[in-house]
Amino acid sequence: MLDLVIRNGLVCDGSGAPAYRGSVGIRDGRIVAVGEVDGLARELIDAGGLVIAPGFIDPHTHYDAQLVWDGQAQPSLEHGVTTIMPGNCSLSLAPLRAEHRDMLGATFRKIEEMPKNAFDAGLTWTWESFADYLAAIGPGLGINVAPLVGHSLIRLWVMGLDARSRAATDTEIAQMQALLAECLDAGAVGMSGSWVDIDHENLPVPARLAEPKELDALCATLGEKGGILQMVPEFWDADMLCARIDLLSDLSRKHGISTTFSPLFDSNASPELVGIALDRIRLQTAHGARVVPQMQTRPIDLSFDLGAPMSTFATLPGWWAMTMLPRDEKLALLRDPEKRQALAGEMDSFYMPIGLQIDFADAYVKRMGTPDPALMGRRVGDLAAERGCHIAEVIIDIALADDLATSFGLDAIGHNDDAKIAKMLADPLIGIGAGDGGAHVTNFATYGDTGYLFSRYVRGFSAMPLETAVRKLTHDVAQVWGLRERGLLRPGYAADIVLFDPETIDRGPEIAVEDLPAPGFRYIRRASGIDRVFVNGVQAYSRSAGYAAARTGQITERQMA
Amino acid sequence: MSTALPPRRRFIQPESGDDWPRIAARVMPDVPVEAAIEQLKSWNLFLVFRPVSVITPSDILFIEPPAAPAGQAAGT
Repeated sequence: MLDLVIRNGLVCDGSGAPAYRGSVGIRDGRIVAVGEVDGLARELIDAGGLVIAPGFIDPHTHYDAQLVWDGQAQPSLEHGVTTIMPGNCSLSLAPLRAEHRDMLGATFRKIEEMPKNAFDAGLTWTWESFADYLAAIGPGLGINVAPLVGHSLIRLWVMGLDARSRAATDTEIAQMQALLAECLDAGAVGMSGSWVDIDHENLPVPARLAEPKELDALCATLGEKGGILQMVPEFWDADMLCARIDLLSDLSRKHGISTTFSPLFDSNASPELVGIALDRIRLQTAHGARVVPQMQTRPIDLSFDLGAPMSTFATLPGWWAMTMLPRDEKLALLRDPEKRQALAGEMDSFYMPIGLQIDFADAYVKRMGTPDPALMGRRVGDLAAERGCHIAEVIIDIALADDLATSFGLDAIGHNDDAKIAKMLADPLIGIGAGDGGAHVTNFATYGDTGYLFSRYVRGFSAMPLETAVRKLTHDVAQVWGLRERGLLRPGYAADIVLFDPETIDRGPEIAVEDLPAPGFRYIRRASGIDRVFVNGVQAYSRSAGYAAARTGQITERQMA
Repeated sequence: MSTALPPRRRFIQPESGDDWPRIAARVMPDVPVEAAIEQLKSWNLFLVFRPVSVITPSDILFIEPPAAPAGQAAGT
């Protein structure tokens, strides 16, 4: 007898093949039949014509910390995501010795913009090894996890704090290889690195101190074990990005590994960049390399407030330093006419060196501690014109009057030419990813890219058929990341399934919710058009009942090399 | 297997402990060091204008200027 049959659906199996009317039979967490399904079942669900698809796979998240207090990785699960990859950008939370927790935590919070109080309240460090981290989160998982191990963590474990300042010896490189192998054996699907990120003290993250021979040696280990390499390249400059694509290609060919980088996005600041990068990837792919760029579906939004350091201020040293000050000193500075003038001057010469064009005059009042209807939604540039002052003074005055709780939004500042992006997303070389779920939680909502792919680019721009969009979110990811028996509706595969309405699936509006393990908020988006989500054969979410109590998520298995 | 495709723009990766004088002496041995440093810096402004000006061994460092945009002859 089957455990469950989902019948009367539009089966979109993840392969890209045309969808068809049919059913899916499930037993013991696995798919046992697809199409015409015979036999009795303990439970029968009528899909009512909705799409039955493999659960979506999100390859770029930073849920490492959130998984400790929320094993369902909300709200990703309700968007149809049944497998997530945490540990990107050289940063995981294991393996990590106890004495490095404070340092790594500060780096993680700075790069991924996680409030310290939530991080501290939600994390109970019970692990050091990678295996123990997985054991710590495992029982609470309501979503599948395909973790990456961060190169920075591997360096820290082997070299201690020297990892932040010097190259490794040959002996240390051999120790790193052994540690990486241990992490891969424990369940990691690969290793992440970065050529870009800077830590909480504005120093390069440890991974960036690696000489090429170190990365090469670690990729040899990935090749032996069948792991993937994820990297963050200099994504804003075509020449630098092409150089990194070449380096990844060489590593891919030499060690027989898949490589991926993120992000890749379009911007008016560098409108030809994506095309140049794709031409390079096409050339390298023709020569046997596997390099998959990850592109987000949503436009780039940022926000900022004066309460805490945020990436928006990364190239405004005076503003950054101001946000770091203790509260009383910060308030004094913001009221000092001379200091205000200096901040205004700095904003006038603002330059965002990562391929984005930002005009702070376009910032708007997005959220307030005590909402003022006369200000909510108003553009800073318009308010400055009305008040006859500099935009910096508007920002400061509003923030001061609101006890520094005001959040200012900058929407669609890049990756916002929808017609152009529609063509990019449809390119077979482009992977859907770079969503950043679990990160930047008080800056912008990193969720709902899956729904947005369907609403904006399948329905809106007809950039690709439904079946292709599903394939890009499922089988394509599972194949590149080497996830065993995930990403397709096939007998023997894990029963990770999403039922959705192709006419209404979407991301909802960005909202602030207070569900962190400490006082404070985060931005999320609710899903629409998702009817049910199953994780390993058990319903984990439904539109009518919300999140289920079931904890059937697993650490995924890797295809062996 | 490695495939030597010509790069879009020639670059090197620094050796551990490299600084501008050492790199300049190595990659532009026929040019006076100060002039070579200035030349290299002009081709690698991203390294020059970092918040903390350090060169790491994982960096890429261009050893020639950017190519002219397609359809634009040199010197125009």
